Amino acid sequence: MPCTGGALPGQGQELMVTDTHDGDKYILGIVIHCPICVSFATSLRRQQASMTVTEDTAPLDDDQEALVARLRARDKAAYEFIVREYSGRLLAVIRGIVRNEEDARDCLQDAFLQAFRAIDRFEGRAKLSSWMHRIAVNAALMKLRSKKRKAEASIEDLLPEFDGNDHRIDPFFQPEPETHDSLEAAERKEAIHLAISQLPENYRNVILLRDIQEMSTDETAAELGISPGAVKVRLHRARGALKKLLDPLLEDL
Amino acid sequence: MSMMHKMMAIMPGTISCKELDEKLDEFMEGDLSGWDRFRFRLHFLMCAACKAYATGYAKTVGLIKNSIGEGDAQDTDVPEDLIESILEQSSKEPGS
Repeated sequence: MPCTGGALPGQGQELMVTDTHDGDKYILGIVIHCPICVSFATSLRRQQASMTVTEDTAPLDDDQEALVARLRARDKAAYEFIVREYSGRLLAVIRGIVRNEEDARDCLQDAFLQAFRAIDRFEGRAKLSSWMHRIAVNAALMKLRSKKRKAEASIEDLLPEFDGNDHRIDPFFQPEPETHDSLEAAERKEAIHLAISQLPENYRNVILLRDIQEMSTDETAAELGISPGAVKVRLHRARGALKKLLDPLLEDL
Repeated sequence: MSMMHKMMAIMPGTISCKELDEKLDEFMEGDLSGWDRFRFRLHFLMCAACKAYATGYAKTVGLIKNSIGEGDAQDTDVPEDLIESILEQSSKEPGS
């Protein structure tokens, strides 16, 4: 409904009112320097004890709960919003892990598809952006692992060993023959990503949440639905496993 | 068992390599009591293997933390065809 009595006519001020399917009116926005519009909007608000908000009108960027609800309702506008809002940053993160543009594009698509399918399980404890980041990183790590033809490692095989008296055994570092003496920074980073990708998923997720996203133990526990004690144990075992996988790199540092 | 480990086994207040390993994260994060920190340092003085392990462990944690920065990632331009492809793919999903 165009404003016909605004204080600043001709400057495009409008009271945007629209009809819903059942005939109720709700306000999309208002130019507050138009007193008639303000008055009309106020009376409309009074008439409507609860304002009807449809999927095309609610703000998308400042209310995570509403956004998630709309994603769960398979609202296309909400989905397009997160794709456009998050793609740039996620693509940058993915490119830092898979150094191939085609793979990076595949990973970004995979990440959004996974998020789309898993949105009903998103419990809102973390920020949606952090949740998306974890999905994207996991997609990139899995792509890297498959490209390098690496299998998931057994945590048990990578943990430190102790004798019957709880003394450390086999402490001496033996470089693997396939490693290089001095790796370039990019190669080193790829080796770290590859090592993380080899962890079983329940350990990898703890590493991503605690060491990459820097969540607290309690936040991580809530996010994964496990106890804080379990988070501590998994984190320690995952770090120990990564140490063993990365031992050849550590010699250079 | 090395001579040093035999000595540690009979010295009061010392901890085993396994106990040290279990509390390594707490030690690194400064969550241990003063007494436990002393026991750690005493152990490191006598056990080169644990000292080397703990050093490598700390380096590993540093490497991991710097490997994928969530906050550091700069927004980058995404080709429109990729955006469209993602949106099209999602529209084929059941329930969409």
